[in-house]
Amino acid sequence: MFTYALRRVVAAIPLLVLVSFMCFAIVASLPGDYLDLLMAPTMSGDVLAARRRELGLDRPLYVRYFMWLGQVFQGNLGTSVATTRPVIDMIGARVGATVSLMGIGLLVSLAIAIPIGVITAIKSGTWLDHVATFFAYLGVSVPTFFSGLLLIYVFSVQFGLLPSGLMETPGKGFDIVDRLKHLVLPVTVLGFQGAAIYTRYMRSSMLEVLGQDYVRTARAKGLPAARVYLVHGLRNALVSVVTLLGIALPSLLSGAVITEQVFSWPGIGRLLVDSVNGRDFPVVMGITMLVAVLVVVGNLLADLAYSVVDPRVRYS
Amino acid sequence: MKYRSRLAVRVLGALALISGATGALAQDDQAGVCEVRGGTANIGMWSITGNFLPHYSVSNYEKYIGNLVFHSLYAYDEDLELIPRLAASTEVDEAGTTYTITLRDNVLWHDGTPFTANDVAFTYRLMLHPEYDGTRTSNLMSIKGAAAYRAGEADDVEGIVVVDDHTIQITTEYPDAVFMEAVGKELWILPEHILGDVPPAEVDAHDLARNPVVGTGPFQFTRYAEGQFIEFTRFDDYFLGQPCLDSVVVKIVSPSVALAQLQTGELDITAGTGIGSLEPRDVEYVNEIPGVEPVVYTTSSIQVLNIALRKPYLQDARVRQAFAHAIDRQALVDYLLLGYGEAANGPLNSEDYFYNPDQPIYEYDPQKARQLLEEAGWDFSRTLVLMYPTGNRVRELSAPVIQANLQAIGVNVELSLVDFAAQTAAARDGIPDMWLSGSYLPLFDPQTILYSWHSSQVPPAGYNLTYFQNERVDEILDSAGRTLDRDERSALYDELQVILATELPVVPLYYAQSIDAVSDRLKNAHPGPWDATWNLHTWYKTE
Repeated sequence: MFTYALRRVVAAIPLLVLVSFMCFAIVASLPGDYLDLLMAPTMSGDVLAARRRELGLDRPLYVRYFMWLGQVFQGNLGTSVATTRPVIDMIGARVGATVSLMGIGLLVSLAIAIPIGVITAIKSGTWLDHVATFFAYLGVSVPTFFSGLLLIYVFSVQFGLLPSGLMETPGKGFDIVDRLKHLVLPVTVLGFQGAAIYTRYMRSSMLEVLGQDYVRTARAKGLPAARVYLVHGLRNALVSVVTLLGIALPSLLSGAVITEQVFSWPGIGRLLVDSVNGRDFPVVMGITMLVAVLVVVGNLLADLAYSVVDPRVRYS
Repeated sequence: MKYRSRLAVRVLGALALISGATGALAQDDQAGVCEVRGGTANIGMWSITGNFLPHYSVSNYEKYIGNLVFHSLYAYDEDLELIPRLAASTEVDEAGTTYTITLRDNVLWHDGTPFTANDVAFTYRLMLHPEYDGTRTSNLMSIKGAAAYRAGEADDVEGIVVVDDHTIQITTEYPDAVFMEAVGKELWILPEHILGDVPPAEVDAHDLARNPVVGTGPFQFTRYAEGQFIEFTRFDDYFLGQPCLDSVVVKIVSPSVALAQLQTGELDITAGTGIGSLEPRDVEYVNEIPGVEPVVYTTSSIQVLNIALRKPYLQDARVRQAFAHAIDRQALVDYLLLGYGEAANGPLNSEDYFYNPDQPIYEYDPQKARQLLEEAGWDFSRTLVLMYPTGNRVRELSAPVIQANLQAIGVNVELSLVDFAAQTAAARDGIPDMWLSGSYLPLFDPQTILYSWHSSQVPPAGYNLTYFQNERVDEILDSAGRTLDRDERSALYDELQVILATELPVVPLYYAQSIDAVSDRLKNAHPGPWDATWNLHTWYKTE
């Protein structure tokens, strides 16, 4: 399995280079650049031209790409044009906010989705299943900006129980209770939406497994129902959830743009949107590439995890 | 609801100041101002990038923070008069070219170092240095020897002389009408003892740009919590007296969170025009919040329909006049701004001292518009592209209205919604026929507002993407900029406004009023077209 993993990692390098070129080409072909946003009565044309040269924006695309790639291979993601800070610092300053929000949101989703998915599959067709299905569709269809504002209105404005935004109370310093309070509303929004999606997957995957011959055989052998559902059923049904987790991993870093916006959460999603609007190409590329790396890593981990949850899968 | 809209007095203050020496520092008398001491003012703002030196940016977000940390020589008060800040008084000689500026002798930087004339000279030289690539050079270009120094032909700026620790003498090449405003207000003095040895090209990468802990303002920068808020604490040795509040927090919140936080008391005031102002539809909502008042005020922020004069079919002024007659500007104000604004007739709003009421005014008149188009031989089969940027809700809503107005007179219009950078690039490349944009200038002198119509402002040197050029306009601006006499300037600007209203390189649409919200508990904080934080040290909060 180790050689398999190593092979996959090595094979990922040309893939990432290809991805980076495509991203770079797309980002660079966005109309307008950072200097277009600097046009103002106090800015003269010669200064703009000088800065354009300095930032290399007057060079052809492929030259700029290789300059950027050269930097990356030296472990340097470049410097933000808007803030003059190293891109890696800007991302680093927001990783904690995004990972804590998305990570806890994902855990909450799974904690709700797996049991409900299993139960609704076992009890499929009953009123319980219908109620759960109703809520799942509700969760998928209600946009987060709406549910977020609704929660703010109820829990912050009306009852004054929870803070309406940001990640900490200014002037408080680090206070774990304060941080957790700020997490509750955005995590609820993300957790509910995620749970709705994963419940559907879990339910259908479980239903499929329960229809398999070996499940019927197990039942026929007279094994207790709980054992059949949990050992034979759940374990195999989890395979598809593992695939989903592999896909969800990059989102831990890319963040949830809309939810972050609604709750003024200082995450990477907001940074990415601001950077695209501000044409801060090094930051956009830095975030895009980190997410690309995580997509590759996430898929690799998912593949490796199959061999753990599914004994039929063997890598050599 | 409070309503403030007196812009008429503006500029007069600046001119009065130039005409003679001012020494009175009556506004320094803050005795008994703080009825309550302590507490925190929470200010709501929409965005931030994280580099706090406004000398390198055109973003009003950065400027807001930079302006809290660093003082300029002068500031605007609530009568829009320039009042001495780091300066104590200024004397101008009879020729109007030599400014002897006496600085306050009791100003300390936040690290305890005394502020001196060397800091002022350092800052001005930095902005003129050949390697300085920031956004403030043009403020200083009228100083004698500035051009030569900027071009690398001189070792020093001839017109900047440090007389003693608290006196600096600035000589300009010609009597510069906007000198007091451009140099006095929008040039924040930087600490020489921190930045003196930093190469000019690297100042914006210096730690002071991210952690501006050494400034001259009433509050010292303490912390930037990435993407969340900026904290300031009281500076006890502030030269205008100890500030009333213990701390100030500028929170980066979305408008919806801001409304919620105003209601919960987590926010006391919004940051103002363009960076923290609310939508017209929010006024009623804010009115319902107990203890929070909406504050509506007129600004010089104008929205216009730009017309690409490079396109041959748009070069006949009658076509542009037809557009002006076709667009129902009052409807935009009534229905989109909900009345919080004024239909615009020209680049200066009707409350401006220099506004010319006798300029051509285009009433909504589709029939006349149609007639003008026919006279101009307009090709009614042509389709024009109207581009408009995201980011301003009312403006986004106005585009389809303008499209319908123009289609009503037979002009086919296709809409194109893009983001701001994309629109600027497209306009530069001559793609759209027309595009919507707004401008907001925190400087009030008409010269600054009108100078964008000087032919020197056409690309590549400038940013006037309509490519409007007019010899008489250049003459007017050149002489008005070198005239200190108010009546003479007024006559020149009157003529200029007539030319612009006849030629119509842009169709003026509306002046949107700015809508802020402020809590009743926060005293002495009055949002307006001035910097509401001009008297930040006197803000206090009751329970």
